[in-house]
Amino acid sequence: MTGRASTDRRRKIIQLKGHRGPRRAHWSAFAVLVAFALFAAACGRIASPQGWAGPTLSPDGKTVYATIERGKIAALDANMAPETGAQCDNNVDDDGDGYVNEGCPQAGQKSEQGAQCLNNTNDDLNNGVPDDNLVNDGCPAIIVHWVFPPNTDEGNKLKLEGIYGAPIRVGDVVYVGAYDGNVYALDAAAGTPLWRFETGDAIVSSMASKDGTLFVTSTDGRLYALDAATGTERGRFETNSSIWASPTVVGDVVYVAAMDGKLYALDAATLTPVSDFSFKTDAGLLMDPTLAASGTLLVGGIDHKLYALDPKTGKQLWSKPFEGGNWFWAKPLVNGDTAYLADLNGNVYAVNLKDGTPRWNKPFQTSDSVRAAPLLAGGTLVVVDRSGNAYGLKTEDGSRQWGPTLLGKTVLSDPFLLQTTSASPTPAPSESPAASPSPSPAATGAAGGAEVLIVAQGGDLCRLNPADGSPTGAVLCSQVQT
Amino acid sequence: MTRVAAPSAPSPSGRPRGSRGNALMFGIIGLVVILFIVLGPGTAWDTLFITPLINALVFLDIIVFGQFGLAIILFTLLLRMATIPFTIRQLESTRAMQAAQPQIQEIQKKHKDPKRRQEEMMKLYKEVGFNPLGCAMPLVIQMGVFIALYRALRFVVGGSPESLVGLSQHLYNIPMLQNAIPLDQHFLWLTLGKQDVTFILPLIVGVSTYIQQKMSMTPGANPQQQQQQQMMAWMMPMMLFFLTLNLPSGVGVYWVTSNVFQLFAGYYVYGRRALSWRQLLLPSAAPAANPGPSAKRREQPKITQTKQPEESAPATAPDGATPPLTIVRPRHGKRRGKRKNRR
Repeated sequence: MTGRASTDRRRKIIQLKGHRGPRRAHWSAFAVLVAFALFAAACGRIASPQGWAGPTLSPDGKTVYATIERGKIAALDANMAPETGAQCDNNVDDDGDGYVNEGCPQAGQKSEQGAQCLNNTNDDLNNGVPDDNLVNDGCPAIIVHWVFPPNTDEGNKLKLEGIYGAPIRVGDVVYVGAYDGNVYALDAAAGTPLWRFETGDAIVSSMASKDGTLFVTSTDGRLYALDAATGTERGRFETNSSIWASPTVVGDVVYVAAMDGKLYALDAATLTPVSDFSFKTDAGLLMDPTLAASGTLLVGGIDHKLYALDPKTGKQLWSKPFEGGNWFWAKPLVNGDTAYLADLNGNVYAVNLKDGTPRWNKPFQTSDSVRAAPLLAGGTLVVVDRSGNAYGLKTEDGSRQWGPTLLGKTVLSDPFLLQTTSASPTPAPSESPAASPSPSPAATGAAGGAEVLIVAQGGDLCRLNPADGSPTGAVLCSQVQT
Repeated sequence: MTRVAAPSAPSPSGRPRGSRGNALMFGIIGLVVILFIVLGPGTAWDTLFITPLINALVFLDIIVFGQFGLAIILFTLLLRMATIPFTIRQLESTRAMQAAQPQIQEIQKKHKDPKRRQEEMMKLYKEVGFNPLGCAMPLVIQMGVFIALYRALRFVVGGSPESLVGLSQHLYNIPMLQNAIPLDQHFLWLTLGKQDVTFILPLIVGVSTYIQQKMSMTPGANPQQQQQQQMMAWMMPMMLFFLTLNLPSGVGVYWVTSNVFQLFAGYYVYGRRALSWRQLLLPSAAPAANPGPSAKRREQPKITQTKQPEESAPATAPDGATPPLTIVRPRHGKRRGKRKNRR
């Protein structure tokens, strides 16, 4: 055997030896790693609360309070259209929003418009050459007055986790209940915190106020009555279950729907149960108690049923409750003697408040669950499902007027109607939790000059024309830049 | 003396006993694959796994009076009992491998040709009843259930209102189940939908995984393999420790319960010695390669030649093939321990 052949043979033996034992071990290690990679990909991280608070308008109609990202609330200028055209030629606050020439291009340069605003590119070319370094200059910009918690070191330490209940404004104070279990009172002008009240668990509902008292429900199962000025506790009422629905104040009575299936009617001053009132179902109540103008109190929840109750006694007014296809969580919209409501199967119903019978031949079916309350704008019923499909329905028969307009975002928050024709936008009363829960048809305003604001998960603000579902701004949805 | 044949030894009909199990396993996998193709992956995953799992958990929660932690434990025990044939088979396969290590090393030494060596190894696997698929099935089930349970827990205890919206899509329209919502998230010191920030549960998961792994580990055939196994013995518990830190506590409860069940199953198959401190703390060495005093004391099922004309027959047949083997397994670990003490 030559020396070379011998070397080759040795090399072969070494290769074989090296290949021998660990082969199975390699495979098992590889299999375990693949399994864990699959597992990690499948699991991702733990689901964190995102929040679904809808926007609220200040009483003067100039400021919209909305969540702009997870656990952050902002005061936005209600006039969301920038100055344009001749308004840009002067240095005057032409649209009365406190800002001069917002959204106007720089002097002597072109600005972007129309479809150019839909991308983040410097489109405005002058003879093929970019005339400025601005992206989307001249496109509508939403003015942010303040953000809470602020983007400071101190503010970043504050973790609200998520905001589920729409904020309310009473006087010069904005109140926000957060998933971290705290109620925050903020100065309406500057957004600085005035006081904080801690409940025993997460807050996933909005609040109600009456005569300087703030009513807060928490998943710790308690209703708290707080001094709106100082945040000191005036009283509390303990249920034996968690509370996910917002309290509703009607006259001197606070209604609280709890997950033990009971609707509690409490004296607003003393938080003692109202005698002679009793209502209980077998399943939890999720829907905010809603009082119709006809004096019918509507509640619903996990048992797929909508109940119409006498607000004084809790006695059922219909021979049998209205039955839907899944849980009722969205607050119903009451218009005259009809209640429009949606369930988590994505069915939208119109129910006759007199007897609980359906008004439409069949419910309108959206593509996904509907957690967001329906909205009425100029005779069009606007409904948005969880996948971000917005629909405009005819109130008479539930047929589709427009849509779906694809927002491309997850939407669980209530849409909000904002008037844009006047200098001071006005809301539909139904959108203010502190206001009457049942708006009259006239109060909902005409569709012309109005826009629907929808806060998507993650904080994108979407703006729609309720007449045809088209975008009212340059883009349908945009992240509010702070 | 040949006393008890291993359960995985060939059946009297000459057909390996594992073949029926394999057929069942492949049948189930085939059915699942067909349903995934017909329904689509998302719908099939939800319909076949997530939704039934969620409803089963809610039902068990009702049975244990609203203690969702107990419901998870009960669910795990029921699941592990349902899959116990696979588990026992896996443990016995592992044990058979442990017992056959000298033969494996013999084959590796004797046959330099990889093809021939592979043939001999397969022959040996068949004879001792080792089934690689039998080992993989419980792991596949474990992993599948683990992922499905995590997904289900995200809805059931979730920890966020969004998960409750998701739950509404998975709950059967049965009043009893619907009325049980929302479930109580609190169990012992844990909030089942959230991570355990006290580190206690992740630690328990890590330690129990380590013990369970060490107990069922096949001794490495060579130092390199042993080293890899040592690494795996630490890697898995460490990974699970960190995973549990980031997952809902309910998943950790499932994992601990599952490990404890596996320990009992291992005790049944391997006997008490498999849980000795020495077994848990010392590296798992190949018995033939390193037959130290600890390896001698470690209880291994004996492998004897079956129907060999001479007791002192060589380990391999004259033509180079390994002679047929039978595993001699004690009936019960405890009794065996006593007998050893008497000796």
